[in-house]
Amino acid sequence: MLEISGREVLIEELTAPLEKDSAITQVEGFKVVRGQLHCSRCGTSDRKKRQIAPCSCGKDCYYCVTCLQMGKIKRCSILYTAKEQNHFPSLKEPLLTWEGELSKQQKEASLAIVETIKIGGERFIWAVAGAGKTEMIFKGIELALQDKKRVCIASPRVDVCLELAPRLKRAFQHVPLAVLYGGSDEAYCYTQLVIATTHQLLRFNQAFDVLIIDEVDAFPFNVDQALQYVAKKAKKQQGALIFLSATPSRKMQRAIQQKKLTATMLPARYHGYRLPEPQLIWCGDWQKKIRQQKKISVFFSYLKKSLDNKRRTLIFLPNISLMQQVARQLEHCFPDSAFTTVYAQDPKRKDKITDMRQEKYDFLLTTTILERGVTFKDIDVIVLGAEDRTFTESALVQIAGRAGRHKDFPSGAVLFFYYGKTRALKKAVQQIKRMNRLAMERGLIERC
Amino acid sequence: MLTCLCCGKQETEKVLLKDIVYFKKLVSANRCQTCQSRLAPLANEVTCLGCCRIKQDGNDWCLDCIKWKKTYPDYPFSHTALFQYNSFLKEWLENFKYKGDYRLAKLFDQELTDYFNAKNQKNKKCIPIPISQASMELRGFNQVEELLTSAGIEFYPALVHIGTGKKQSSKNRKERMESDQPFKLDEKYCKQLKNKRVILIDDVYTTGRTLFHAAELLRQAEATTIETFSIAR
Repeated sequence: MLEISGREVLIEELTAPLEKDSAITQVEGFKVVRGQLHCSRCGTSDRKKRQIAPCSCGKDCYYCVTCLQMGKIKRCSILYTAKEQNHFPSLKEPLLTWEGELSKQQKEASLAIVETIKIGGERFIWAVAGAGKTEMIFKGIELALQDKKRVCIASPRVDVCLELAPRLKRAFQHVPLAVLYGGSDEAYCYTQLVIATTHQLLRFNQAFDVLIIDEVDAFPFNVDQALQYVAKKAKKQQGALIFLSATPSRKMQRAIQQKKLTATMLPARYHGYRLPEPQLIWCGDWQKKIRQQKKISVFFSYLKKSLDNKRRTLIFLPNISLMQQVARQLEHCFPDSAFTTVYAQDPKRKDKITDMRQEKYDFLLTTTILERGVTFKDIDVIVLGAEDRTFTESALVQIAGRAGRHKDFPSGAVLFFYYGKTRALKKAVQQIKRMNRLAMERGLIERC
Repeated sequence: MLTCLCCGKQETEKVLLKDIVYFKKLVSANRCQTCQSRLAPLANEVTCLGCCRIKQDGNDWCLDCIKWKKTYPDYPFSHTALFQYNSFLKEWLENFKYKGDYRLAKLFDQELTDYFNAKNQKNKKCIPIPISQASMELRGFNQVEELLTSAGIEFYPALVHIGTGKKQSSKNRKERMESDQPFKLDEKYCKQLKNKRVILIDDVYTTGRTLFHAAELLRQAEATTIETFSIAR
């Protein structure tokens, strides 16, 4: 019973057989809302997203294509759900075992979050990369837990969830925590505090009093209508929904400007130093040079200098094939330096990132997968081909935000090598400068 | 504009001047360039004569087939596979069979039609490998039959699954090799197969155990020649 409290699952997704209970409701796989057929789980009503297929139930069965990856929802499927009762064991005080101190702007944001959790509704926390977003949600979570509220912290990215989990475990040592993501070895277990990828929210129904979505603008949440529906479904109607991001989408920025969405701005980093502003360097038709097997002189000479200075660098490239071509050239030119490439489908992705953190590599070539959610201690950042359309405004701001995150190493070079300035490129630089100016005006940057 | 069946990416199809000049029939592909490039066709590879596996040493027959020859001394080994079983096909099978994405049955339409409509394939009876009752209930369809239906190939479901329903894919190699005959001939088709050329079809050839079990039954039904076919090897 507890296992499906606030959930909406298929029978085969359960770990234990269901007992008969009047509180359990059965929902059909598809339901009609306002004359339209919807998938009960992900809310998709597009006819093209329903595939007719033979089924053991009979002839005219169909399934939902949108949420197929999370298990097949057929016309004949039955979803089991029970109302969230908030039956949690009493927790050992003190709940919050974290003993850090919040900066001035973090305190303000923390108060705003507490406020939203108390009264419900939506709030956007626009905090620059490295502002210390995680720490400022602690107070709110503590309060919610004390009030017997169920809390979920979700993110579209697994990496972000996996990085959040240990930090949250340390901050709330006595609070049981479930971490849900695709491919996890752990079975679902009913807890008051949950970390989940936004995909996993599909399996919840009116469960959370507080839902915090980190990196809302990340793929695929930013483009996937179903996921946005699902996030609303997973939280209770009167619950609080808090978005965290360093780079809201244009649509969200507009909503904030028009005051449709309450927002809190955090323009400075927790350590009180400026955000490193990107340097733009024109590098000519670099793709042509790669094709002709020639060196991209500006880029190579810069890299040589930085290697001589023993600086470690993250190099971002627009796609995998370009990355591999550049890697081959670099191998040729810098035979003594240790480096590697990493991309989304790389089987050794996790290991390589850990190795980079342990400073085993001099530089790391990557696609946009490392644009967010990762922290390296003392690092420079280069984007080669910043004009490419994969580098959107938010991608570039996030990438620039990788540098200078540690309080002992607050500066780091950010270089955008480009061939033709795009709107995204200009906007990204503007956004970073604007944040620095804002922080200055509010007196948040003490040291320059 | 094509939408890739595997990854959902949209791509514009390229028509070459060559195709127009030679009046080549335009066939719209159903997978994108990236997914296409992940397929490893076996047609131009040097393979084992028995099972179509890419040759690993200088011998004409691979070690597996040599072992099979000991078990079935008078069986004419003739297997055709279209592609090497790699990560791409693994994903495809995972999504098609286990996740149950019925749309993926269409993926190899072109290849299957080309193969089975070729002149030397005429008058052969196609027999798909059946699946267990339990899988049928879960999946709702037999993946091999759906592949053939989708490609418009006529087939005869002459075999019936009577096994326990424990999947081959969930066993290790030793368990696979020791599994008992899971099939039985359907009486209705028994006579029709006598003195006919048959071709057994499965989705993937791993150890060969399944296909050999099936071939054994067809030899009892006195088919003249028995060939086997799979998408992946």
